[in-house]
Amino acid sequence: MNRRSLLLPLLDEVLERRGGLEPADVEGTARAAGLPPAVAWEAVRFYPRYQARGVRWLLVDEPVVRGRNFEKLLDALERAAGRAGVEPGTVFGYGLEAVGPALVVEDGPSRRVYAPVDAAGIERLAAGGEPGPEAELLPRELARGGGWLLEEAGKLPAFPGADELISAVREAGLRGLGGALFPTWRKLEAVRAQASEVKYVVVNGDESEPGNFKDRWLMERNPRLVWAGAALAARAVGAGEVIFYVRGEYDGALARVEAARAGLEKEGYFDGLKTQTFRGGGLYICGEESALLESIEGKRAEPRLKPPYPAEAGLFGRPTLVQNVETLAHIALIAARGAAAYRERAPKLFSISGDVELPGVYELPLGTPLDRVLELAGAKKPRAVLMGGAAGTFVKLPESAGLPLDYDAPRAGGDSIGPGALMVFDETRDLWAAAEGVAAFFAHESCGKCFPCSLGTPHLQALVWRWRRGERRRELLEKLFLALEQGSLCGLGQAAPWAVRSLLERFEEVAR
Amino acid sequence: MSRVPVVINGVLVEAEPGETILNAARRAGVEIPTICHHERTGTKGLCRLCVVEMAGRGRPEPACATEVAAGMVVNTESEELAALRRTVLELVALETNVEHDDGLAGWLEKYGADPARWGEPLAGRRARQTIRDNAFYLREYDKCYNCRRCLDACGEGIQGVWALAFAGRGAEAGVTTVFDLTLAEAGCVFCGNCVQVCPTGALVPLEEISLAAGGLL
Repeated sequence: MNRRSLLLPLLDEVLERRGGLEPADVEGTARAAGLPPAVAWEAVRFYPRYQARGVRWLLVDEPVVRGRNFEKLLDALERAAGRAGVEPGTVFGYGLEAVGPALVVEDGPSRRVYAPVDAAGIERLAAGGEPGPEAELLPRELARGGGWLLEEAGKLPAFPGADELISAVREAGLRGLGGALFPTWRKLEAVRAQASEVKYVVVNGDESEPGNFKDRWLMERNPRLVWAGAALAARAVGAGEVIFYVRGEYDGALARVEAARAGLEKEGYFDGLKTQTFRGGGLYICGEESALLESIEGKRAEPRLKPPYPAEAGLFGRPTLVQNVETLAHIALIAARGAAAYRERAPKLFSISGDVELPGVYELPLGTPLDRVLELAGAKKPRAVLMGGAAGTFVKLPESAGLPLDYDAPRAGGDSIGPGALMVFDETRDLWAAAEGVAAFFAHESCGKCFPCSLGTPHLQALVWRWRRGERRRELLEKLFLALEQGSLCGLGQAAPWAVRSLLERFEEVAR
Repeated sequence: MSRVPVVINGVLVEAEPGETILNAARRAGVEIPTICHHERTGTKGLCRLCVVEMAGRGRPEPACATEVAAGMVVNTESEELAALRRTVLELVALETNVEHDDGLAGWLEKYGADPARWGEPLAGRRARQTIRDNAFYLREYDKCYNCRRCLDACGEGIQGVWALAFAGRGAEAGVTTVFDLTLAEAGCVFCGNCVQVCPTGALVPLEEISLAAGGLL
């Protein structure tokens, strides 16, 4: 097939070479990518890094720091930035919840990331120093207790044949670990069944769900295992090309994913399979699988209407298998160790942060009760766990102590492990402040495509803000929950109310 | 080709193969509210006003983007759908200058919408300045809902000119031109298709203004 030139890498190349983008550059890259200039201009006006100008100091906004001292730190940052004549602001996520609070010093399209930082660190930054330790990679010691996924991959598994691999994945009971928990073998089967000569595998490494950093860990520390899973999946479904989409801000992960790709290429592991590492657009919506495909195509990362599903008409209209980083690592493990051994162990990565002595990435058997997990991580007097991420729910303790963390049990109560984030809040934390951060996140990350989400999420944020300050409009919140959850086009808008609603339903006594 | 039997609001409707629920319902005399759908543009599934309940589906689906299938059982009105539409209509009317959209006024009334209960507008749309950069029409984007019909008419849907572009994200998103140029610089051929498909009165032909003012050009 023809190798297409993709718009975002072309724009990135110009950005790196010249430090900025002029209309003539955009026109030239659009031509090279075979897109109308208007489409390229839409991309430039959509993805944050193409608009980045000058130096900005950005406090990383995530639920854990929101529950602690976000407002005080932001205040300190704004005052320091004011004195230094630098623009202050906030930025969401970064997968640093376990080592935060984190701060990003952005200089145009490039950045340096520091964690942890405190008010004194911000003062040092204003005085021309470093605000804290640099955090380009997650510290190695964040891998707690070891496990199959946390051990560096040794000899990679050989391809056992499509039938064998897919039935092993089915027997293993693997589900999509980006959070949707859809049976993986069904997706594999659906793409395999398509008659197209051109098919793609896309690795979804756009981990932008607050509280989750297990994909980041795998991309930084075990990328060969993920590539191996992607290559096996590609052979099983008959795809000739794998595109590994890494979250745009994850500089360290990008470098390591690309180094692993180059190494495997050199070793001959890919055996004719085309591979590419792709810097993602740098927005939460890029992790929605159809929006992710749009962004590879050089368009605004907006979710598509389904059907058709990517398995039928995905990247450039071709059948496409989109799988999360961890899911693919599991496919490699299943191929290496067999479905029976895998099923017996039932490994799952959890990203644990907040009020625990040992925050980090844990590999635990699916079904481990919540209180056992909290004990392992050293939680003291936990009152709530924000489970799944921003698109998750607050689970109350000790009421839910025995909840088994598996694919199905939490669903009975309207919860889900999602991608496996557990953000722990003890009795001293302000859960409404955390919920306000979640609402702000969705308002910021809404793509602007469907009306309920683009118009509704700012009002969700405003209503939570007002609630925290004593003005309780429960009936408006309920109206908004319905419009967002039932009316939004994609999972972003549909999930936007979940955390706030769970707080209202389960923690009303703490609403002051 | 054989007809496709579907049940809409309890009534058996013989739909055409390949048509949408929205069309089948309209032909059966059932009106479903919509903003973004237009028969000549490819825009669909954005405003979410036309979502309908379908037996066996968890969430309501947009009638404008869902093809009929034999045996489908569809409800176009329910308490939940009314509440959902009311909220979306209220937010549209709160955030946008809707004074020139008679169609929307009808839907606001039907669903008992009270935009003021949401407090102050948050999207910044109403503060947008009118753009007058050509002799043919004004762009009053304080009246724009982001239905994208104009974008589709200009780009891949009808004209293939691609003078218009969509910029920004979330509540701040809106229509602009390629490289934010004037329309003429952006390659606009002033075909008028965008004005034709705009449901809100945001794109105003200058001739209309001059006639309304009692004079000829």
